[in-house]
Amino acid sequence: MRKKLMKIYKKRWHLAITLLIVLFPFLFFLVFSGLANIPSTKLLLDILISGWRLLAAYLIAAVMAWCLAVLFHQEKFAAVALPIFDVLQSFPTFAALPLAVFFFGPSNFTIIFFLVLTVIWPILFSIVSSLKLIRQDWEEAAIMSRLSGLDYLRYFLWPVSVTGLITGSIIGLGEGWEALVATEIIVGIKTGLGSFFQQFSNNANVTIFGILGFLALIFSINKLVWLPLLEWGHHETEE
Amino acid sequence: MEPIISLHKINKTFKERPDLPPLKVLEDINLEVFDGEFLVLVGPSGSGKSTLLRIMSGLEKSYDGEVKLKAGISSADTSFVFQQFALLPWLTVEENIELGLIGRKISKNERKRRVAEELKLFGLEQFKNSRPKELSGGMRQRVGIARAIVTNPKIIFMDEPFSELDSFTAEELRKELLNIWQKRKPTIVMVTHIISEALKLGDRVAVLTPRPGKIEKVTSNSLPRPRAERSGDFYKLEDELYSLIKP
Repeated sequence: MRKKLMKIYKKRWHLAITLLIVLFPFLFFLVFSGLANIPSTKLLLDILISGWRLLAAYLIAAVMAWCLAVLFHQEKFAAVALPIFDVLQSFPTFAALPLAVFFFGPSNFTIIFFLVLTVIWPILFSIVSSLKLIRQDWEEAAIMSRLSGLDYLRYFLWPVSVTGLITGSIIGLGEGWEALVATEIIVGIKTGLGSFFQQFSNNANVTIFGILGFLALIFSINKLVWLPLLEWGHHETEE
Repeated sequence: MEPIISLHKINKTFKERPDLPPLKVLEDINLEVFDGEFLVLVGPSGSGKSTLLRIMSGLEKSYDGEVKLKAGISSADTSFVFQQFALLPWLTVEENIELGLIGRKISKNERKRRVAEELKLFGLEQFKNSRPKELSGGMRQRVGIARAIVTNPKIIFMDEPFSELDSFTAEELRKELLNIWQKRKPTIVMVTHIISEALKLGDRVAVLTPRPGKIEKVTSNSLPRPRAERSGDFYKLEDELYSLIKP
């Protein structure tokens, strides 16, 4: 594990600075909650609950996107499937949100379901494009090696799709954070960052500092997780 | 003697785009390849020699005619060496060589033993944990050939395997390939556009015409090995092939 981390971060100081950057938003929220007279436990809990919802939605979306991309990236299927996916991704999901609340109530299920619908498309299209860029002779080497079933997935499809998965995840999660707060507000659930921002909607200072803290949190996650992963992914398929 | 591969009336036309006329690349190819022989396909650029090799290997599936393998030989008994090596960059040298054994469901211990043998044979032991991008062109093609022979194939298809290498490395690899072929005796079908290479390596040389490629002539080459490139007999055969190949 340590070896793997060092492979991604290359230098110890890089890892140390990254961890400091990650700590920053939490320190920020602690100081901020004190100044704004908000119980710090409530604020951290809201962040954790929202983070958990997004993480659950992301994991579901990533698995579904990868499976769909693997199933439909080949030319004969892609010609039919991709235009359908394209129409589906343009569907304004928020328009159906009140209806979903009516049926399922202001629940975690409703929020996660709508987050999946937001996050899945960039991941799906990004994986499809990375699969379409597979060099023909790599594919032929896999064919002549008689790779099939799980071996084909493990030794060929997974490595060639991982860069697309990482790129799509960065874009998808960016959209996901945005949709998360909006969905929580529209659904009217009493926990999470949406409820926090709605509660302080008439207090400009709290809202502005809340947004700044929120941005710092997203930035630190990108810096800690996604950017090193992206670099690693490019390194893996570099010739 | 029953051929290991028989091609009967092979025709191939590319119909890639509806706005362009179909392009006929191979016409009425009839050819037999015999067990243990080294057959070389030569021809001018665009004569369809690589397409013919891909049809024989099963990589190209859309064609008219029949490709027949000898009874008891299946596609799992074949392997391919690519012009641009086609090593998977996310795998190490050792894992790249192992790939065909994984695909053929060979046990892990047996895989390790056979890969170690090939690493030794090709002088790749110290590079076994390297990635392909860390190797020179010659070393990469050594890995490509090791990957092809580790499965003990009955037939090896090679598509201009030395054309990406400098002349010294190419010469060295040709010698290594001949040594392996003489020891293990697989059937080799190789495509090249270099006449001297075809004559140095091949038992027979099949010459293709310009597009659409047809078999112009199959020349036997019984010069004793190792073949001296500067001998009169070699020059004679070289002249014969040059006169057959039309640009």
